[in-house]
Amino acid sequence: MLILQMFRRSWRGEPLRLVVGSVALAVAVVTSVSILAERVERALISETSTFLAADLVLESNSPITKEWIDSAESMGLKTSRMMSFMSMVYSGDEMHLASIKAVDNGYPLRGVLRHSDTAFVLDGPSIITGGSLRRGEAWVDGRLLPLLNIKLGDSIDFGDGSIKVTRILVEEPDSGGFSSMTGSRVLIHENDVFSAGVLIPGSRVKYRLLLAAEGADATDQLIEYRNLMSAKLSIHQRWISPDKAQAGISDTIDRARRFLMLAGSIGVVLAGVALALASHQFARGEILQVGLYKTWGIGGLDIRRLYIKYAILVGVIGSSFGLVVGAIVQEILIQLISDLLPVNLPPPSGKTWTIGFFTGMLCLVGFMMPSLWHLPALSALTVLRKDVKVKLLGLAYRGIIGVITIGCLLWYYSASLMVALAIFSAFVVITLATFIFGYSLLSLGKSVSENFGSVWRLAFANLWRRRAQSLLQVMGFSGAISLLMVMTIVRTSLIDEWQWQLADDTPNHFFINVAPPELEGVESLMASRSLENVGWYSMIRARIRAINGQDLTSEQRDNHESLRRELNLSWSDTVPEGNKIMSGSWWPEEPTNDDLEADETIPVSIEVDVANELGLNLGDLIIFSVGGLEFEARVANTRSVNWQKMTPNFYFLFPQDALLEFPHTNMTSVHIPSEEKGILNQLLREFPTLQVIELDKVIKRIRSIVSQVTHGLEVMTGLILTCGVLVMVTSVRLSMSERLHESAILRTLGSSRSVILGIQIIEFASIGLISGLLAALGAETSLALIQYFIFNLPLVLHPALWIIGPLFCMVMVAVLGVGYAQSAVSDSPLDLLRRL
Amino acid sequence: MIKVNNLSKKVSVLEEELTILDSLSFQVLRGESLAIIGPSGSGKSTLLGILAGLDLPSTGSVHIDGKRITSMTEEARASIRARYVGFVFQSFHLLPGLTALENVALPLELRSESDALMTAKEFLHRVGLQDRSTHLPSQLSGGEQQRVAVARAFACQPKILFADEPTGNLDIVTGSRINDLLFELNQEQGTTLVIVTHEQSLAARCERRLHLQCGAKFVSVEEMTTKC
Repeated sequence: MLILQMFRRSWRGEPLRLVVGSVALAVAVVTSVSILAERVERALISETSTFLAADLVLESNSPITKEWIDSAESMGLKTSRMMSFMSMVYSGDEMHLASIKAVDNGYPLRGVLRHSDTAFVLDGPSIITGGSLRRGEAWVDGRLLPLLNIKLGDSIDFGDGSIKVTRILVEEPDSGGFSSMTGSRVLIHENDVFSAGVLIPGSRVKYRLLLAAEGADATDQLIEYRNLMSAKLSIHQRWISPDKAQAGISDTIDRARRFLMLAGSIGVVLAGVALALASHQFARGEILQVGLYKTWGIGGLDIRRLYIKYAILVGVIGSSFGLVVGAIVQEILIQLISDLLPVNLPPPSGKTWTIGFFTGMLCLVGFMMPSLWHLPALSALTVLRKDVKVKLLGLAYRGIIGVITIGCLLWYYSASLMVALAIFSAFVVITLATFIFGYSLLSLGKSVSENFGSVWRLAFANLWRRRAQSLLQVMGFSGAISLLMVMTIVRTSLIDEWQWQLADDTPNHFFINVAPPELEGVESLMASRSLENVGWYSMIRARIRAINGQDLTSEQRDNHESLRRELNLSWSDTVPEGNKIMSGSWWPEEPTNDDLEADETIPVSIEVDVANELGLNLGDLIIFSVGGLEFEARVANTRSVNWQKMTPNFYFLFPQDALLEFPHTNMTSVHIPSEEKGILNQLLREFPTLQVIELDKVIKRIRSIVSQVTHGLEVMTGLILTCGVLVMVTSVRLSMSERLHESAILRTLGSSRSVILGIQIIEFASIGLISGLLAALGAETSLALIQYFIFNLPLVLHPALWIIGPLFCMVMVAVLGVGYAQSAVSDSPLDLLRRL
Repeated sequence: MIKVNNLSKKVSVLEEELTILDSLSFQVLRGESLAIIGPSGSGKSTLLGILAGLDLPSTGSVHIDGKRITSMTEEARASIRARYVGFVFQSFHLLPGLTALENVALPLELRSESDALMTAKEFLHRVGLQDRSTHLPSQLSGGEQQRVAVARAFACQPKILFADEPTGNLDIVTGSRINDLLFELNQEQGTTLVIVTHEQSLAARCERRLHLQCGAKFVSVEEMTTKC
């Protein structure tokens, strides 16, 4: 009760409000960032789930038994069955080997079907989102219509039955990747498969059991089911989860998550700086009170207990307030980007609230308690004699405790030692730099100012006299600005990288299976529409038969998918764009006779991950089989491949002439603007064996995700920038009482208002300039670490930081400081003295 | 009430030992008023701090109500202060964020007294500030602030009141009113009064005076010949 009263009374004073405000700020930033991060991450994972049309998928080469379905349903999971296989469809004399997908009524569990009555459209009013197809209906790829020469409403023959084509399938949630690209998609109901009698024992069919869970413990339910059933998994069955479904998308999610964590960590550091400054001010204000308590006979232990209770109350009130503000802020953020978010965001889990609250309490322990710690040990004589020195816990100790607290929070939040260390290193660099460079610059400024007018001398004398305080402020400013710089640069480079990867002219269609005699015809048709491809790549279908003279064992085949199936081989005389040699060397473009004589075995270049997976080393010999014809190749080099570029890439590459004798087809990728998509009709009619993979749908999906994430990050960066400004305001306010006092005395002694204003401007601008220089140093260091270790980007210096940073900081601190100190100039000296 | 025996206080200044108080011995009886007078730097405030148990002497002893406080721990001295001692300071030392009433009530609340606010109101009334109870210190004049401080000191009904230059920051008329108030309450409550002051008029109103001189030599303890 007494504590509550003390709180209520102290609330009238500025210091407590600043402390509570700082705790609330810490918690609000952390809460909003962590809730937003969690919700967006869960939404993105959910979005990835839509690539599977489920949260988890069991894929099998044989029909999935009822036991799997019953177990799932008994655990409350939603299920849906799916089959995919290739089958001929007919209309009159036309026929096409279609990629059939047969689903039940529950499909899809995640994501939606998009369909239209017009072929080759991706957007527009004709597209309907949602719904499921009925028995007897087929929804088909737009390209099937020209191939079979049919229109919507016509029936196509399929096995013993006939199905009516009712809709053009624009997008199916699980179309991502290349699985359905070999034939036109025909989506039908599973019952039509059974009645058509197209499946016989031995038919190559992929069966999928789609699974999804709802509610707060959805992830746990899925894990439980997976653990329970994994024992029953045969070698023909495998799990597919969202994170493995799309390597590219999960990479995007991973980067987004890292960025959100970085944002959260920066929020923690900024708020910590604000709280430490506010707490120091608060503790100074409590000295008289503690002195009085002592004279009234309250013992040191009782005073300590009192302040611990008080701090807990401050923590609870500040944290609760912060939680509310954090929840509101994140809700505003969500509203701002709601149009871009793919699904309704799941509500935040209780864990994020707990994290927010305990972060507040931990900040209090790390940043407020050290300032209060020595209060109970104060001598009661402070109230009698002004010469009794009041010594709060030293700056160094408080700094160390604060740094440890920040370190713990960073590590806890980022769950990444590297991110924590990167920000930490920036912190350490800034702290050390502050005390070395800051001290030197202040000293230099003081010496140089001797040669200028009295205003300069007074301003620098003030800074020098309060050098500890000046350095503390410089540390606060430089820390905030440095982190903002890191934030801005990291964000910009991330987005730049994404945008670059998905430039407007990114190839969005693959043409495969183009026979050599057809090349000229396809080229001229494309040229007639001014379409340019990325160049033709030859493609040979082959299997690996033996490695180093040993035939593949069935165990090897079971363990490695690339040993089970046919591989696409190609050739190139140069290292393809976006590829990088990791070991060995590329073959010469024009081999000399010596080269040829030295080794008659054909060299092969292998993608590095496949080489590692298969345990292949340089010099290993591989026997490939191309339709029964065999040849031997030696591993000449391994290379990394940038899969994110939408150009043809191959696991196995050979020299140009080595494989000419084997039958091959050609492939390329090309950008076809949406208004030119009609060319596909003509192309497929003229070259019926040519296959088109429409990647524009996938690219559109990726672009939409990048757009959402980017907008989220922009808002998030804005939030952190606001926090940085708030930290600055807090620290300016904290030094203000002393400045007002000095100003009042100077004016009493006859200084004019312009002199006071000049002193204020020089002081604040100097602190800003020094802070800006140090911030640039700290930011450059931590950027180097983050870019190199976290984002795997090359080391780049940022000259702009060294110009814009100090200038921005100087102007901002001067404007904030002078603006806040306006009363020192406008109010009468007597008013100022009375207020102090 | 207070017994001082052979009390000395030495401090080190720039590696030299400086004697502030030297072999002081005297007694203050219950309900008596004592003025400690002397020029600046003569050790008045240091002596007050030691008498109140806020500081320890280099040698010698102080007894309060028969208890030797100079051999007690800080915690034990704190409990003696809580039971016996009240203070009035030269610069008032009111907490700026608290109203007049709250300033008076605070020490009572810290002792968990249930009717702290009622008692505080009563004492504000006694010092004539019942109408200013909701005012903050910054809204009160110097004299009013010191009256609040006096109310705060007497509200705890201390057996000994230590006053450190209570009128040092006030004009003569206002200071005189504060003095009246101090002695009135001293009479009413039978409080032992120990006042550090420069003012001869205030010292003259005390029953006894302790003269300290520069160099910290003890001069005399005069018996009062006349009552205030």
